[in-house]
Amino acid sequence: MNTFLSIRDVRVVYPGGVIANDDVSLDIRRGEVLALLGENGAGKTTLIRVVAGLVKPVKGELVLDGVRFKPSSYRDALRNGIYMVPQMPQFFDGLTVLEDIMLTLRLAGRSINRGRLEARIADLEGLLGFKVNLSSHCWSLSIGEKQRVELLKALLLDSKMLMLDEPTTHMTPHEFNSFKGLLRGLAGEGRSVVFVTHKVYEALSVADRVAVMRKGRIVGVFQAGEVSEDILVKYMFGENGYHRVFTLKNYKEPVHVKGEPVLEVLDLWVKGPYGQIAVKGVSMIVRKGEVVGVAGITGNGQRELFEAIIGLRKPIKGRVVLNGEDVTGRDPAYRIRKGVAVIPEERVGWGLASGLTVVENIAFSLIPVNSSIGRFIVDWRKAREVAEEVVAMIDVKVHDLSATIDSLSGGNMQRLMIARELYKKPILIVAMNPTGGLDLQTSKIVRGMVVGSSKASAVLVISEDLEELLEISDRIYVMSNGVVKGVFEKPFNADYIIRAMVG
Amino acid sequence: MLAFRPSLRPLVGVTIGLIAGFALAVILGSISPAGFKGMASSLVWVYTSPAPLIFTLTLLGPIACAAVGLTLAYRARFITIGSEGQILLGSIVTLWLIEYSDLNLHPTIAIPTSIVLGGFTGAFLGFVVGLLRVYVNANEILVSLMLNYVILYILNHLASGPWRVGAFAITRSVGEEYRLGPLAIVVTTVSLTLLCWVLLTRSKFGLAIKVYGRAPKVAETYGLNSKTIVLAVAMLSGFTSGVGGVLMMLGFQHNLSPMSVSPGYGYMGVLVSWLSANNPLVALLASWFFSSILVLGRSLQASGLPIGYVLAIQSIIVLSVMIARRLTSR
Repeated sequence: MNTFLSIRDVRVVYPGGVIANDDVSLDIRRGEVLALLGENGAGKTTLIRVVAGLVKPVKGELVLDGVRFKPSSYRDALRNGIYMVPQMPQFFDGLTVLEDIMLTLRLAGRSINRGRLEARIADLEGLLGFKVNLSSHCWSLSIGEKQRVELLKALLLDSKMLMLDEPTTHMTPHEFNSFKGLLRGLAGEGRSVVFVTHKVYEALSVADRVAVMRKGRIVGVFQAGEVSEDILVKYMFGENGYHRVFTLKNYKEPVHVKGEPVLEVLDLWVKGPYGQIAVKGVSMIVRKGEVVGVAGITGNGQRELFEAIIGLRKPIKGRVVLNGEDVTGRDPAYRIRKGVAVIPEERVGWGLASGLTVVENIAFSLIPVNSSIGRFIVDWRKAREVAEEVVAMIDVKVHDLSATIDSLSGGNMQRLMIARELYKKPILIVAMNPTGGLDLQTSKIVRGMVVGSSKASAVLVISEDLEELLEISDRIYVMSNGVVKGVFEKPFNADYIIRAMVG
Repeated sequence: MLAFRPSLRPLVGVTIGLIAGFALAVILGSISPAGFKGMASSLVWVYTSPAPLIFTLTLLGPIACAAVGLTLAYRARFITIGSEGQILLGSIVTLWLIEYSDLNLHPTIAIPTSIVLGGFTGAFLGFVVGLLRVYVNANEILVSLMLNYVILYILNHLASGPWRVGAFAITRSVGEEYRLGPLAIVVTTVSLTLLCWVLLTRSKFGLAIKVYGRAPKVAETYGLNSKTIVLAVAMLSGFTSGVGGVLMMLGFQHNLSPMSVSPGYGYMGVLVSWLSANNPLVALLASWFFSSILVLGRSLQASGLPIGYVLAIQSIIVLSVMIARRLTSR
């Protein structure tokens, strides 16, 4: 078969001496979907960033179509027909989607006629099976929507190779199925597709070949038809890790006793960022001792619902009742004092403040609850003790509590943030996409933390990951277009739920 | 590329700034061999003789007071540049209290009263800016800049109209017994610095400021009231700048006239605060440095360098420090 890009002995060392890619060699062929499988920190993202010209290797080379290829920037890669979609796509917030697309095309050296571009986009939308609102501003797009626009851009550029970093994080199983077809179609046209994922079954169901990475190395390359899930997992985690993952599987204790309602949402109507009505008459109850899931495709009002429940967004109608008390008009501080714990969608910038230390990031959340860390003056010794307790709740080594939070990995940040919220002994936990972007193992641990906390609290999890909700929820509300389309009790029928999500 | 220890970065920037400033003077032809000799001897004189050292401490007052308050505001990403107007207002009310009111207060009462009065009028100006930012989302940079002009023109009006004495646009001077020596200025300045430092590093409020400045959404989500934070830092920075105005009036200015007033101590406070990476203790030190450059500039005027050159040097230093910080932060 004919090789499009060949990676030879690439070695990447990050400042601090971390070896992210350890002499990696890999051939990417024309017309294939290649899955790059590995847990977080295995070096997958680094490898595709090397190809995209964003990271310079200290050693090794790339050969593109038989010619030595040394991309010095992302623009270089773009102009050579390589398109990378990062896990968190970056957009110019102030531009409209159309303007952002035009900017990317210009970066790649394409001259563009606006009218023709719009026509071409309309064609592609038909092909891809989704619609993009070209006149909306980029800041208002959800991560899922951004990923769709990225795909659109790649096709507009007629890229010869597409690299997608964890593209399915925000997809429903139904979306994944059509996405799968899309990738197969692209490969059928002779393009190369590199699909970065940590989900074994996704790799197997989409790819022609699966390359497994562990600790910066390629540990195996398999034909998708000739390898089992079990073997791939073993390669991903090594023997020891493999056992850890599979013993964690049955951690959930069933909760039979239904407690008092802790959160009641009554006929809630909430406006979204454009003034459109995003939540239309949602009602739900979350009781002590249960995990309630809210399922739905991104952008169907979940974010606005989340913000209204924690007090960030004022509803235009309806009530939010906490432990029998109407808190609709109350600010977040009041709700936190009453025992609401918040686990937002984005770790950095919404849950944790970048640039501040681990201790500071734990201490600030205790200010409104007015606890032990001092009245006006912070007792930093006490705050440190609290931080130590919080860190002890999770099995994470934090060497230096005075280091900035940015020194932790994404998974550790997430666990730290959740532990901080649980430390407050909340009566209600409101979480949004708590395992977004985490690897298999960390996701399990995070789910374990969330489920474990439901013994003492009521838990509401809004998630785009339906499988996750099926696993942890006692009851699932399905939101579509701002409305609750269905309420499902255990045992769940995934087909019905998916139908409600897309209906 | 620039592998200096973080603590050394500002010093490196300062050095580069000084070299660049010197080069500028040479290029502009302001420095002849004789002038260079004069410059060198001025430099030695400023940092060794008692008179300029004391004068440096006197000039330090308004710069440092403005700067330490601004560190709080800038940590909260409240980018006010209203210190200039607040300093002027502080000095106006001080002059009013001592010379133009009919109160005839004894110095032991008049001086503390003017410090409180100057502080609160400065805080009031800050409050106006903060209020406009919080409730109508007005840009604090523009609003505070405009207010600076409002106060400047009020001052011009007073000095050339109702408060004028004699033929020139100049007011009465505060009496000898009301004037402050370097010790009183340093004590006041250091107290304000310590206050700001404790607020920033030891108090819950300081923690809330830092969180809000780094990530406003985090602050809002976890119940730290952003309106309170913005209004508080607006008023606190106004307060310290207002006190700076009192120190200016009682320390060395003594009267008001459109001609002689402030070469921009408030704006210097802005520069100093950035220079110090918004750390009050460092800001105090940097204020002393800026103040000594001012004194140096005054003595250089004798060898033919305009005061504008000194102000240019200050700006170049800040610029090079900020560039050094950027280059080394990644």
